[in-house]
Amino acid sequence: MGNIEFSLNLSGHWTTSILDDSNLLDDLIKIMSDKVKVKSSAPNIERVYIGSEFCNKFIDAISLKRLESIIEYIDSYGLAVTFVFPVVMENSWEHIKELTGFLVRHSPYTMEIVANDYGLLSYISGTYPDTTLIAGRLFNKLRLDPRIDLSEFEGFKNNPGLLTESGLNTPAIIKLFKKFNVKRVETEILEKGIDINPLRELFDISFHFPWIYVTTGQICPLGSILKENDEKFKLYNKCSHGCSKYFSVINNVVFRGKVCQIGNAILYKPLFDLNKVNELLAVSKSRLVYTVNSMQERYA
Amino acid sequence: MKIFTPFNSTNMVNSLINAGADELFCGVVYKRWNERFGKDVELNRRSSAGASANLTSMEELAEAIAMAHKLGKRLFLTLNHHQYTNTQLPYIKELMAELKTIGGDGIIVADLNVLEMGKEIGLKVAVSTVLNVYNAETVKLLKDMGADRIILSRDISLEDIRRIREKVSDIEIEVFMLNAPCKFSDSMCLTLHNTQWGNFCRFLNQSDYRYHRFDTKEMSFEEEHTLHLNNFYYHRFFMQRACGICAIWRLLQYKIDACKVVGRFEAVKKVVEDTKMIRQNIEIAKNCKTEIEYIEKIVNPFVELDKCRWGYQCYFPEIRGYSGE
Repeated sequence: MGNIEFSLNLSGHWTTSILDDSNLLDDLIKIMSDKVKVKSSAPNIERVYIGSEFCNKFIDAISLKRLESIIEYIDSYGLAVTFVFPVVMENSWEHIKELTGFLVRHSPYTMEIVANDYGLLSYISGTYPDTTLIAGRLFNKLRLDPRIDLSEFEGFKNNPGLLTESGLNTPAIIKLFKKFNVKRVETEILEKGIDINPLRELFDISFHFPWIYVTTGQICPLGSILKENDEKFKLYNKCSHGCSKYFSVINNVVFRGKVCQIGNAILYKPLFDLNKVNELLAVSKSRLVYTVNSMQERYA
Repeated sequence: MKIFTPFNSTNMVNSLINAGADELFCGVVYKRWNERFGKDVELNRRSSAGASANLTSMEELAEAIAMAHKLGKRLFLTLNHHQYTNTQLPYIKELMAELKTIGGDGIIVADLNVLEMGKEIGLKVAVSTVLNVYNAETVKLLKDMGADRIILSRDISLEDIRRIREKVSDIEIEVFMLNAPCKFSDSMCLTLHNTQWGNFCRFLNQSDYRYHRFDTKEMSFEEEHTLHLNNFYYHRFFMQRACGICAIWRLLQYKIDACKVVGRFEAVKKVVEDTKMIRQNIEIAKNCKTEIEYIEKIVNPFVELDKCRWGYQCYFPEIRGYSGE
């Protein structure tokens, strides 16, 4: 493998949990070091992702003070921070502007911001043009389904490139990312790999591994666990933050890999072709963004 | 506020317009696409349903356009797959050129490439919910790219709609009004919207959920019970149908331009009844001075009023409870 960068994805519930449990960050780093090997050695983890890729309510609940504590804690490990924003609801906009301003001022040289929203890409590139801006994984609308081997459909069988070709490779998307001075683009890795040429000639690429996001939305079941029946699943209600404590494994004989739900996102871990993963990472300035999904892995 | 109504056959066109539809939209089975990619590679979000959710040919589409225009109405073609690839875009461009030739008015899109190509060809462009539009900054960006209308996401509050409308006044805004709920966001769902397999979200209803604590401690009975009961309500009741009728009065105040009936796969009788009912309620709302007055006069779409009470089928449940009680 070439000069791969390694980042630990602590977005979502881990972001705030690392402050509450003094051993947690060490344990998560150890899990990643055990699972990811570079020629039998532990990877050099340089960076930690915090924030949330999927949930506005989570971002709404982060105060500047708490955020500062989290960043400084991570900094004490000698690690840089990447902050991830989800798709932005209009009512979260002012708070998100406040957070981005804080992030940029706090660590102007090392902070990276991941935006998963076209409006946020536009805002950050216009307001903070020197910030390292990353186009997040939610822009990449791959076709995947934990139930189905897509190559069984005739259309995909006859056009196998469609199974791995990303719509981000197209002219309008590339033009927009260039306009917004995006430095890096995120993607999942699919079972059969991913085709991101010519995108990777123009941008650095981050690969999320090993959990692929399948679907997400603004209304989260775990946000309602403490609500009365007629107040459940309402956008306007305060969140119960059940995702900070619980997650679910979803079992169905049809699923072709592991499926779990964390908060409002369903994630999928298929059987990867690791040769393809290594090939993708072999290109210069590739980044592996590793997600530890459960603490079962901590004790496994 | 216009009513934007789906259809899947020319038989439906006149009935829908007579029922009160202001604009129509449909999908089409495109021969060249099917020859290359087949129906399971999405041309639109319902292409796998074939003729039961799409017109069967460009000839039928031309006929539908002529019928709609005769009654003074516009017709949009749905090309709302999330993102086409470089391999697929030439077919989309060709299809849009044919659409323009036969008099089509516009397209509903989620792919920015198709937005740009559509504008070049001279079609009106409505940006689909499948593109993730939740805030005014995104609306402004899309307006600058040439979009004529933005169809906001399903899972958005009335307050956010109001703010977006206030901040961006010079583009058409459309919201969802009736049918085809989505537990997640259509825009962020990568799964196959496939007739053979059924929707992924409904499939989850039949799956076994096992809950765990992140700290690996054993769960109490009460925790298990709370989580599974919550999950039961979520899968059994939440978003089995979807309705925004209660919000019509408020949406008129916000000057929302259009509301959408979903259901390209529905039978003509249902879509006609839905359209009539929305038209009735819009006319009622126009004559009401207050929201409470409107709520009291609503023609209710459901007989099962308990669904209304819990708000599980509501696009805008924040309206619920305005009954004067």
